[in-house]
Amino acid sequence: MTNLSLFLMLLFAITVTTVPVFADDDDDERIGFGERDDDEHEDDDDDERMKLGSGIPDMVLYITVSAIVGTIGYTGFKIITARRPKMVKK
Amino acid sequence: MKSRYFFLVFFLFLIPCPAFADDDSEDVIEDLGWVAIGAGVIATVPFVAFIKIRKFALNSGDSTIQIAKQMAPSYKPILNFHIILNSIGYFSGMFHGLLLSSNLEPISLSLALVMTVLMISGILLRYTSSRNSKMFNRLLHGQIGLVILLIGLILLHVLTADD
Repeated sequence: MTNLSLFLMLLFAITVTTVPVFADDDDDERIGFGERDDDEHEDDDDDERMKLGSGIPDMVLYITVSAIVGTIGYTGFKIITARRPKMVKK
Repeated sequence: MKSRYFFLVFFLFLIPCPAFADDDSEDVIEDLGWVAIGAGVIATVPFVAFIKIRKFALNSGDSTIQIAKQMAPSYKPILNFHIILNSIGYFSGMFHGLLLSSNLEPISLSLALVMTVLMISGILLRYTSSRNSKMFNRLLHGQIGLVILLIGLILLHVLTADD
């Protein structure tokens, strides 16, 4: 009962966070007015922004993925070694 | 008693709403990111402090064991608070990322990955009953390396987000 209610609350949280964003109609007003200018500014921003596949920021992503994979592997390895019965020495 | 608990949970989920009280959509989305960081800090720092104090009290000696025993009933409410507030932080952060997905860059993607791994391991730790799964997720969820990585990525994201 408690688990189910917690999941329902999580679902509710999703709706609370998304609905007001889509209720905003500022973006609709912009259509047709200065649309071209916005696009040009976006192009300028894109040049300055750190994009995927661009040097050092990309390294951060590779390091993160390796760290996650390494941590999961290390955790699994620790559990397997802890559960394996020890060899009895004669 | 139960209805009071549900009302508390209900109001906790309304915390991100003030972020939308602003008219400027860019600021709103940015505020959502700050909500995520704030919720994460408020959810995690007291919980970790509680665990550390309790452990310290248990290991210190006879007189402090009584204090640790008195702290035991508070564990579940603090754990629930940790789960609920971190869920709010996670979903706020994810929606902040989704709404700004046109500006996707590797640091944000890394942050989203680490958050998801910690969130999934936390949910599995709480809601699975298998012994192996519990042990695996307890070890994974408490990995200091992942926590340091998360803090580092949050700092990097905040510092580079305006570029």
